Amino acid sequence: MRVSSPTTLLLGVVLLCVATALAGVWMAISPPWLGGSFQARPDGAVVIAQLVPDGPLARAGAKVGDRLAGVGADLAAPLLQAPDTGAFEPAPTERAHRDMTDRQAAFSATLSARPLVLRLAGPDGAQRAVTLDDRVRPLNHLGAEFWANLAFGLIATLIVGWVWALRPRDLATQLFALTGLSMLAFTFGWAVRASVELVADGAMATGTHWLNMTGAVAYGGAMIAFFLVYPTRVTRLPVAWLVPLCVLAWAATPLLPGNPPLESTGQSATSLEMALIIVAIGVQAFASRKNPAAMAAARWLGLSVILGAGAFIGNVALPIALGREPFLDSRFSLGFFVIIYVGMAVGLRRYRLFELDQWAFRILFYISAGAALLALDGLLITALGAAPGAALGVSLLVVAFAYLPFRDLLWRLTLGRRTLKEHEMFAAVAQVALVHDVEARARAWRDLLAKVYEPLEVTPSVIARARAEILEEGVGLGLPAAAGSTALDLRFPFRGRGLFGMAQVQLADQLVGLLAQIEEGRDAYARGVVEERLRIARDLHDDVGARLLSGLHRQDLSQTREAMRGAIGDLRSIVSGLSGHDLPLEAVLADLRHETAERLEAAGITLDWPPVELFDPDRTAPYRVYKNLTSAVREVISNAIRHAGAAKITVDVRETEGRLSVTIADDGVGLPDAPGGRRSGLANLERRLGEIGGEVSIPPAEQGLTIRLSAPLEVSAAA
Amino acid sequence: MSSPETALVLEDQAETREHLLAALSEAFPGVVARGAGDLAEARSFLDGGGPPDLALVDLALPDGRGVDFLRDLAERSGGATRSVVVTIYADDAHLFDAIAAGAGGYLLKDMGREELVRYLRRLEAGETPLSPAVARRMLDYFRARPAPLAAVEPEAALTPRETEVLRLIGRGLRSGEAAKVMGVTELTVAGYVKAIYRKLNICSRAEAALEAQRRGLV
Repeated sequence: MRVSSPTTLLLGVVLLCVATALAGVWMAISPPWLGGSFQARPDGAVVIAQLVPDGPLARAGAKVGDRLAGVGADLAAPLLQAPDTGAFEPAPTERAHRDMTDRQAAFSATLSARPLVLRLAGPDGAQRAVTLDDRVRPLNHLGAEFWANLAFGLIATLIVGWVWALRPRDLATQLFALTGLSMLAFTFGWAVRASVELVADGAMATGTHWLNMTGAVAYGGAMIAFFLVYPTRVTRLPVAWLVPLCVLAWAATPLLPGNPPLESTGQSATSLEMALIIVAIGVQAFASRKNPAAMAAARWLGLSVILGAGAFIGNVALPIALGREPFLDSRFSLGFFVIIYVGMAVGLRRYRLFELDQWAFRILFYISAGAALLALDGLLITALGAAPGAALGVSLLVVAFAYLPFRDLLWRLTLGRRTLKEHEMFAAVAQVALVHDVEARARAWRDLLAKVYEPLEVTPSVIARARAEILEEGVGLGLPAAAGSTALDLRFPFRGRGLFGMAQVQLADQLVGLLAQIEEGRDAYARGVVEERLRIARDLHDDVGARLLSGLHRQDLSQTREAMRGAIGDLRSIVSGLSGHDLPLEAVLADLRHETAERLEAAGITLDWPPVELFDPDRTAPYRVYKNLTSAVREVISNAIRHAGAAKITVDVRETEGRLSVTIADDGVGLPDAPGGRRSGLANLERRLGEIGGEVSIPPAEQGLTIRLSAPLEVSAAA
Repeated sequence: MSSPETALVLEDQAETREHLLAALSEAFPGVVARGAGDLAEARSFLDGGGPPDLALVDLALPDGRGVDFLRDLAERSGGATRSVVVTIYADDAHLFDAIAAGAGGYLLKDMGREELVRYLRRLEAGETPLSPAVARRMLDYFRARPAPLAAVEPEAALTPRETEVLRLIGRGLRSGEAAKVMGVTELTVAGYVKAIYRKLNICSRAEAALEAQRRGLV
């Protein structure tokens, strides 16, 4: 079975209540109206006790105190005897009760004659015939007892319906709902019977009597079953069967020896059930003793039931047993049962009854707001209809320019869905993903979900899942862990007005995917920052640090200065690499050539470095490549200036097949045979070139030293 | 430009300031050189003794930017003061800002004494130091804005020879080498470079005037 959204269920409950109320009113007004109440006197006479002014009896000239002497012109027609009104002793057996009901029905049939002629006897004993006409009973003459008892049942049904709509699959709420429905049955029966003026017609009398008695017995059974499962499930037995079981047992009592009437056995049954309810509450309290939350719930509900039912018994049953009048008007004593349900509604949040919380009231608020708007519409239509003088045009203008915008505003403030647009959603997800603090991010994620789905309930889920999934036939949506939050279960989307469907699942997957993507991007960025920091740290340490160290250990001041100058030059390269951009190879070579020319000029060495024509003028070099290449060339030139004693240096730059080779030849003394000195500088060069996948070679030369540096221009993995 | 008689060194680090003052004395014996530690001091010198013949200006100063002082100096002296930037920054942004503000030279602080002296003497000979990076930036600058400026200031466009000089220097050639490639003397190349600097100044001024007109300030 596919469940419906809480709002749909609750609307169903409201419809049931409306239908019940209409049925009750219809049953109360359908018997032809007499317009008075009657009293059965101990002498067997049935006399008029009260008259409704302008009622059919009063109009026909009946007086209070008139005795009902007969119906119709036919003197043989059955007359209602006082004991048959049921005002005195109850029937001793069920059979006697049925006979009485039959006599009532027969009499009731005569009352429905149109026109109805009644023979009344005045105090003097003189009989006169009166004719009753226009016997439609107005609603305001149904009596307070009818309305009050009808209202009691409806209030209880609405409250249990509300709880059941939120947890329709829960045995406890189902049983609780059953108590409310039972209460509706017995209050309904009571209300309709209370509206009867003299005697009810056969079918109605039997029907309402049964409803009243069955409801009362079922109520007790449901309450016992309820306290056996909530808050702690005491037994695994199918306790719900207690309800039909109780009703069947009671219905079978006329089979007992002596044919006891159902009415009296029903009262015994409910008294017995009341005792069992108290026992069940005790059992429940014992079973819940180790769970403080369950204990509190059990105590609160038990107290409500004992107070409500106890007050009923104390006000009605006890005084009767003691032969005294009830303390409060017994006609309204069923109102004490409402205490149970109001108490439950009050304790709902405090004790988290049925795992419900504040949001359970929120859904009520939305429904009430919707109902209020409809009422407002009705009021307006009535007002417009009731003002015949007002021109139709003016009314339309008022509606179009004042009422509709106002109504729209109210709608948006109370009920409107505030859904996010797609671009807003993207921005919102990005915002969530970029929250730095993990906890704050999880919070932001929940806020976003609340905005997108408007769930009434968000709970962390214990189930780890990779994708979003529908839970409980659409009541819930299970989300995978995201944004630093654990997996979440959302329930009752759109403030309880809808269910989760495939569209929501897809959206959830998209949101989670988008979030993951942005988070990945953010992490990649963070990694990039870390890598860049590492690069700077390494370059600072390897290049600047090494130069400063060598400057520190030099004895000669000018050499120290040169080392420091070199360190500053390296610093500049490192900083220029901060932009992270590749540089045009042509520019790198031009700067290197210029720098070399300046240095060699200062040293009095001639430079022969023909400008190179690159195959592709737009060719760029990655930072690591140009950084290491430049450093290597600088180092070779430094060594040449320092050790070679050369007069001329020739530099030849070539680009072939994605490799750049720089050949630096001097006409100096060449490489010494002994290790150390210039040879150790070579190791340094090899390390630098090795980092970018390049190599150093020393081609044979007739004079001086030739060093060839070559490296691939594409960035290599070794970098 | 003849040998400068007065000079100002604007540099906040005392050691570097002494180093620059010493280099000035070595390059131009008999020059009256004064040192200033910040913009305020340098400006008070300007108010007291008028603009010097030569100014060495650091870009990062405790109370402001050296570029602003370069602009002041160009304004006050009407271009008579030769100002040279001496800085640690070698990036294009700093370089180009300084030249646009009227710097006639751009030297790096980590130069040795001898090298520095050599550069200063070249200034005396009318030569302007020009690095490949600056030359490339200049080429881009003129390429990007030839048309509107030509209408305002016909001189602002570069001649083919000047463009050739910039191109060669931008590729890493020194002015002597560029002279050889072009088949002219080094002095001629120096003349081209000076002309380029001048046009650059005109460009920035013409641009400023245009901008002022556009904004309704004139």
